[in-house]
Amino acid sequence: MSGSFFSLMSIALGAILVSNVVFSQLLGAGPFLKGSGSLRAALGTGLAVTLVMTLTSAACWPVNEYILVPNGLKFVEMAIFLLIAVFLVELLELLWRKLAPGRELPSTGGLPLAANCAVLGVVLQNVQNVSSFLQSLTYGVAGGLGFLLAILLFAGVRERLEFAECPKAFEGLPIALVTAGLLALCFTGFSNLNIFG
Amino acid sequence: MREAEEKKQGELSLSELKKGGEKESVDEKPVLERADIQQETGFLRLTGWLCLLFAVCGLFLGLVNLLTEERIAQHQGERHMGVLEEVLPYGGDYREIRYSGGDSAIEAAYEAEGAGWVFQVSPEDSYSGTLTLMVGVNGDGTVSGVAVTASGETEGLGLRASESEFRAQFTGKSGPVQVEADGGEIAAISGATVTSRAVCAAVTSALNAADGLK
Amino acid sequence: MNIGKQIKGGLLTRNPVAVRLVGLCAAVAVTTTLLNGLGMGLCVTAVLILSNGILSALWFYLPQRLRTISAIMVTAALGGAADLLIQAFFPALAGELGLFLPLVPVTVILLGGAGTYAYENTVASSMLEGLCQGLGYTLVLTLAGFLRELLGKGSFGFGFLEGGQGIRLFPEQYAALGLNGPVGGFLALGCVAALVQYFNGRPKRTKKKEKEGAKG
Repeated sequence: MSGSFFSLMSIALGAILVSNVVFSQLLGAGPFLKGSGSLRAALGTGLAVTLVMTLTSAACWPVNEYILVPNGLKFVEMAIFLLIAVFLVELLELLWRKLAPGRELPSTGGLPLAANCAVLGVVLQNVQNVSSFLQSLTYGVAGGLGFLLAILLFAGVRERLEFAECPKAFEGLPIALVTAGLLALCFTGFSNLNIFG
Repeated sequence: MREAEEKKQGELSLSELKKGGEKESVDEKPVLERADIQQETGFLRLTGWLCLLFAVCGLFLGLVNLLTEERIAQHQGERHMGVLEEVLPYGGDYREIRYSGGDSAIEAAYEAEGAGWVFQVSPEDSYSGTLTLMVGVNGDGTVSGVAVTASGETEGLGLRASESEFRAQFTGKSGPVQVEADGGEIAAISGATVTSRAVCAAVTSALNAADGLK
Repeated sequence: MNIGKQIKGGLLTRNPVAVRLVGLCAAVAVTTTLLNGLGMGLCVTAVLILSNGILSALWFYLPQRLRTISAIMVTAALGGAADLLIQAFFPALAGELGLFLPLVPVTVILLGGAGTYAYENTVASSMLEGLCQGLGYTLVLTLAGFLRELLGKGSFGFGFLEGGQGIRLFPEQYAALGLNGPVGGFLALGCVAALVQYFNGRPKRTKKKEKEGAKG
């Protein structure tokens, strides 16, 4: 079953809708809440996370498979993955400055992007569960797209939320968290959705 | 020469900082910005520093790993034995055996001499592809117990496959096991038919494998 | 040094989760029970204190351009060690925290701002700051865990008290099972964040409002 196009598609759709990075696996709640002030900001954050997640997944899987596991270095995996993520984000920032000089970065900056539970969580899951490079890459892309979908939906709700009245103590983050909870409830509707099967 | 000067300056600022820190409140900025104290360091020195840092961190982690490795492995072993004991109660040692049948869902097989077998099964048709079960089979070809060891299924619904009521239904069953919707006897977890089917498929795989070993 | 202000900062006015919005990821995920929240919080606190202390002691010797990467490395090493130690000595907690245990260094890096505080303050002050921020984090996680366990499982101290079953406060069939999932994580954390904001807003309500207005 593994390897065929349809199986990869079903992995991808499953990862986006059924086990969504934010709503089902609870990874990346930080950038999800911070970067969703407006639809524009959300698009920037979402795309940046997707890009970084894809690249990091692609880079970490071979490192784990061919360097860490054969040498019994599993205990340094987190440090290595963190370094790879930081390195990639630095590289992307450099590239961005070269390509679009003077324009602001589309996200909240490098460190929160690299030290990001969503990115590293997906990478950790990949090296634990996934047996091929292509699958790992698929999970990386799908995880990123799932994050993008989640943050766009959430930013749409939050833009309306600005004008809503709520108790003083709930203004800002708390009501955003409650809203995210309700969105997560919506996403449980996708559970046991059977794709191509 | 310059280094020494820098160092002196640095020490001075550090002591200033310490003095200042006692008076100042937390929110206020420190006395000196870091850029004032050190100038650009050469490429070689930077590389050297990085290597040293990596080496120290790596050695530290390696040391901790050395100290904890045994205990962690022991815990993992205990957990593994606990699951085996749960699905097929048996006092003695479980012997890992080679499964040479054609079913790719069977990941590992254990023999409890005279009592039966335990199979580690990962059915193909689960959501995430990471559902893993331990299925115990009695010597007479009936199921003795089922346990979920890894579940990448959707939290909430799919995870309930590990609930005892659902799992208890399998005990004593034999032959192909199916959910009620497919004409079998197992009541599926409501809203998690796919997961329930995957568990049934896993149990059926294990029963067939046991048949082959008899 | 104003220790009281620093402690209050960590717990309330600069609370890492409710005000600075860092480390939310683990806070939403691991708070299924009181004990999970407490365990995660204390683990993060310990790593944060140590990494702040070490970075603050190293600050002069580190070349300027390597400061961020050093902070990341030191924290990753300490976090990795904490991961291994918990796996070895508290296997049950390690099982409960799952994927979020290896992610501890990520939380700590964000909580400590990759050493921003440590590089600008003395060792003692940095360690105290680590303690305060860590305790603020622990407070939020413990409260959220308590709420979620109470409503989702109907018990107190699950996994520790009364032989692992916890003290039953009401029969399990009346518990809101949905709160054990992701939904409960967001809702419980939202309520705790609201509580922190309530305490923050009480004495200086007008000032707070101005600040929020400026931000928005």
